Amino acid sequence: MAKAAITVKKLHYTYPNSTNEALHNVSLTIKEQEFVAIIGQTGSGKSTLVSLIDGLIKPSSGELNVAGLEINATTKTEYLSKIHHQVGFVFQFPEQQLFAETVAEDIAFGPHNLGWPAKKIEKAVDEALKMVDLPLELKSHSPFALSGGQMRRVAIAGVLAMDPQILILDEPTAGLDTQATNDLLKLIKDLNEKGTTIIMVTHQMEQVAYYANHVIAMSNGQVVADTTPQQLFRDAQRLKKLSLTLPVSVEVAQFLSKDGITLKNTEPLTLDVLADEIAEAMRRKRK
Amino acid sequence: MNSKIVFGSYVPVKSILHRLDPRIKLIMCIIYVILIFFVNNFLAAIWLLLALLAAIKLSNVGLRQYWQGIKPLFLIILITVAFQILFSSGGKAYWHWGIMAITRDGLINSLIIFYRFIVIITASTVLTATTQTFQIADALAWLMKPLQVIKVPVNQITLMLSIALRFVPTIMDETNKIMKAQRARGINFNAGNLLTRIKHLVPILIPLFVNSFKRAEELATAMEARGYDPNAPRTHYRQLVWHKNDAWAGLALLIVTVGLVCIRIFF
Amino acid sequence: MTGIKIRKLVFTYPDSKYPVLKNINLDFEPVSWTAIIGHNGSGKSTLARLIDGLLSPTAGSIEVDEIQVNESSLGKIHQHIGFVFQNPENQFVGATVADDVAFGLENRQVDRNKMEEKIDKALKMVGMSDYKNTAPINLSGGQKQRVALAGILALMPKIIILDEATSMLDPLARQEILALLQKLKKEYNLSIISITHDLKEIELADKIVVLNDSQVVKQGAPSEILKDKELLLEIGVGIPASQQLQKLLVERGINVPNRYLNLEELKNWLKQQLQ
Repeated sequence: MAKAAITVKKLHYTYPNSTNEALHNVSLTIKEQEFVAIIGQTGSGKSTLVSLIDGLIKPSSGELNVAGLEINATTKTEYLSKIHHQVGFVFQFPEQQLFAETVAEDIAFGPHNLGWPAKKIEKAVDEALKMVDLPLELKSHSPFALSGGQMRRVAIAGVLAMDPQILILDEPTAGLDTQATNDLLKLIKDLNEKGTTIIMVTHQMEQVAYYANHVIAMSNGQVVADTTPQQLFRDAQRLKKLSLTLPVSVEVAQFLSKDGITLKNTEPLTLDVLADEIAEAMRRKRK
Repeated sequence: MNSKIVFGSYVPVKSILHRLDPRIKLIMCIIYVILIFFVNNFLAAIWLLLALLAAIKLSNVGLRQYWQGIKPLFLIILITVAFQILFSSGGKAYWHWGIMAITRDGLINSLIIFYRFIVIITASTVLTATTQTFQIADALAWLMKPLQVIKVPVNQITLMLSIALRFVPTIMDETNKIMKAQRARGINFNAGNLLTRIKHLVPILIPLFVNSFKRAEELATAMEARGYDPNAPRTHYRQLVWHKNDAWAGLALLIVTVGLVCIRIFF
Repeated sequence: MTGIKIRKLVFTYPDSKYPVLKNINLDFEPVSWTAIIGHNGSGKSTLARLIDGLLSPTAGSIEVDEIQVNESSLGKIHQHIGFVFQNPENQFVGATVADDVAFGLENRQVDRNKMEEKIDKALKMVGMSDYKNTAPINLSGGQKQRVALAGILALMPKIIILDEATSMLDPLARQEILALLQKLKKEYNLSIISITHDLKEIELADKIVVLNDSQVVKQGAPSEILKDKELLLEIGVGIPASQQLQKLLVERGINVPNRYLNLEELKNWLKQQLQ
């Protein structure tokens, strides 16, 4: 069993000036090197949960342990900032947070805040640029002169340069075309395979099916499912109630099973698996 | 959607003041502020304070919420008052050190300034708490109407104003988002000396400006696509209609004014 | 109505040496749904803005239902074409939903007495009647796009241009907006031009126009364009799931019909085969 990267116990959170709880009694465990997908409607508490994990807000009650750091309602703000040595957070449309005069400066911002020595920062910047597949020549360019897709990659590089053990991404592929989406997901998958724990907030069930091995569904500030993608997609009724869709491969399998054609694997997570199942069913039928 | 209650924000409750026409509320607020400057004795001060307390009562907004509105400005008020106490001269001196002195006149002046600050801020908070920003913009447009005669582009100005107000919450949300994102990148906004703190504004302000310019450009295109022509006449969906209560409000204002005049003449 | 005719259209941005669009000739049928697809920077959005007169061509001509698009016809063109932009937040002008819908009516100098009715009707068309007095900060992205649509519908346009109008919405809101557009198109005989990367949105079109390197490289029915996997990959759109599955099945020796099937068609074909 892998070690727990994050444990959350009976977490409650209410925003200042609000009377409704944004998070209600949330408990969960995320293990090291897991690829976790967090799903749910806008306002379901997803963003609040990941903000708490990154120490950007303090719990109203309950506690969490993030990469060995204990956090509860009384934790001091200085202590919270320690989290950023371990956890990286790529916000939605991260290119909207670029600010520096050059690409290199912008990427160096995070490592600089962590107090790294200049040599180490420089190396981290180069490595991060390589990871997001941007040429080193861009270092001296203004980030605002780049294309939208390149700006997104610079912003992500700025987080990767901090070398996080745990990486949170809030809809990292929103607004990207298919090619750029696939490139980015591949990068995230690679990081995961090299040991980074990934927590990805997403609306795309295809991404959940293809990449995640642990899925947390939220609704009205509560965790309503904490399971594997396979298990989650088995319960089409519940998904519908949560206004979530099925990935195409599962949708086709469930469409067929409604008409009495049951495949061996009723929740094929990829089209490849689905195609295998269909081929198998055809063979059986011919016999 | 969180933490949107700030200085000058609308409090969505029901009250007589909420229902009043924004024009009469704006006029009352302006005249009240002018009256404040005519206060020259204790009784006059009490008289206007009573009027304000009556308005607060009628607004159905709790005193605590008004205090929330004033609180962020309180430090500035105190500093101003302290300066006034220490650096004005005249009258009997109680204490002095170098150029600083506490004198009788200084104390009285600072008391007056303190009173004006608090009362004016509270009065405008009564206006903003009971009137939505776009209604205030409408009222301003109406007040500025006569300026059209001297070729002031009143319609453009009011549209500009109402769009600016419409985007205030958007930009506040965005500021929050950017601050959070930069904090996630390890910046600590609460640490360091003044210079560091000013430097820490750069990663917030630059993205904010860049995004706002982009917003403005997109908005301008969208407005054009929807047929907006700054030089063409437009009709107006929002109409302001006077009601009986507005007349009563005007009468109340008149009574307050006459009362003040009497106090000034007879005391 | 005669649709849109674009002839020898060239456009170069003032600060650029190279044209974003060179020699475009295109026809859009009236009451049809056309999707324009292509790389970022292929000139799709520019083309849409030119059609709506928001930019003026460097050379060539555009005719929208027999109206020449130029300086003097802009008012008519803006009335004829409704434009929904990408970012829901940046096209919301009004302080409330009703104010925003009224904005276009005010610009058209519609009489105040007729506004309320038009606003109510438009909000009903997009299912936003309950939000008439809501401020934009309290609306979701999908709801804001509905309001944007209502603002357009209140002016009774003949053509609606969607410039990546669903790209910032979550999948559910996107689905809902697209379903709404399909319904409105049918009920009010609208023409729709959608600029998009989204395969589900592309599949709704009657005709697809592919822009690449500032030119129209291909146009045709979805069944034709969506079969062209290389082209789709090149312009970054990706291959429809049904096409991917079709290919995977063929690889496994299954005799799938050699024509384009959308997901529904493929599902039904599979059902027939397996029952």
